[in-house]
Amino acid sequence: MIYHCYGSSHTSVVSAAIHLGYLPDNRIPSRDEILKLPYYDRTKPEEIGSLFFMGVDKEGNEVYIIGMENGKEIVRRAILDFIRIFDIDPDSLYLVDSLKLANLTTKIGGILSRRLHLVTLGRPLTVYGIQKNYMNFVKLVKDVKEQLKLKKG
Amino acid sequence: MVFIYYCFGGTHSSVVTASLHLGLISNRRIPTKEEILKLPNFDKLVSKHHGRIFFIGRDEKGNKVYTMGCRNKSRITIKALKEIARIYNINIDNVKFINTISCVNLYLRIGGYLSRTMGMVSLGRPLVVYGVRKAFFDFVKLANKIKNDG
Repeated sequence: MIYHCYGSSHTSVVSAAIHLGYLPDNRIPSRDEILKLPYYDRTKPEEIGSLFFMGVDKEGNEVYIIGMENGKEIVRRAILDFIRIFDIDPDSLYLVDSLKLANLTTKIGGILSRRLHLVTLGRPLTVYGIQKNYMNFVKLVKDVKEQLKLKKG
Repeated sequence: MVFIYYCFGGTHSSVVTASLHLGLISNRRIPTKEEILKLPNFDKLVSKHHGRIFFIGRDEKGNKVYTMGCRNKSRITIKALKEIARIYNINIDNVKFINTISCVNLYLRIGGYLSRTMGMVSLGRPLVVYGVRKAFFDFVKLANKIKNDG
């Protein structure tokens, strides 16, 4: 179970956190709740492409996050073809794009904080952007969990 | 061992090097245009194939040889694959990723762009063939090095 976004700092962290119950699914979390999340707004550019373990969900699925910059099609195809080489069932892996939930505020905040190192300016913006779009994150995770149930039959 | 040769589009330099590794073309003389065009996937792949890992064949030691195009995302792609290997307990020491872009000359670059990105095959294909022939012994050197190291 891998949530992926641009830099594995914001949308993937929040989606994985909802998935694992670190964040609520019935209300918008506070700024502090978001900032307390592991890896939130902390990943360095050279760490993009690394898998970070977020936890194990109630069904026993391991949940990870990864950044794929703007190359998600390429990286996703490569991952799926790669595991096939080793006869691993591609269904054992579930890749979820959370970058599509990044709104303009989160994107600008992310660029300011991560790329330009203007953390004091960028970090609050990323939080604001996520709070504004929060219920869509909840919906994404809900859909993912339903898909997982269907997959497992 | 698994050898994955990769370049920008997975359709020129990685194909030639993988083919040399497998002995699909002679490494003692520059191949003809026809020989080059007959190579698997040569000048055939487009952007929807980027990231796909294509099986080209097994070498005489039984190693599997693949090619892949990962545009300018090779650093992240390879890193992600190594990470995936880690969580699936795949022994990454048995996987060799070989970047073939070092052998790419200007003819290959321009020809590849024209043929693959712009779809101007009749213009770009002769250029990539010329580029491969011109850089051929660089490809031979790379393939030999990888085989000897492996």
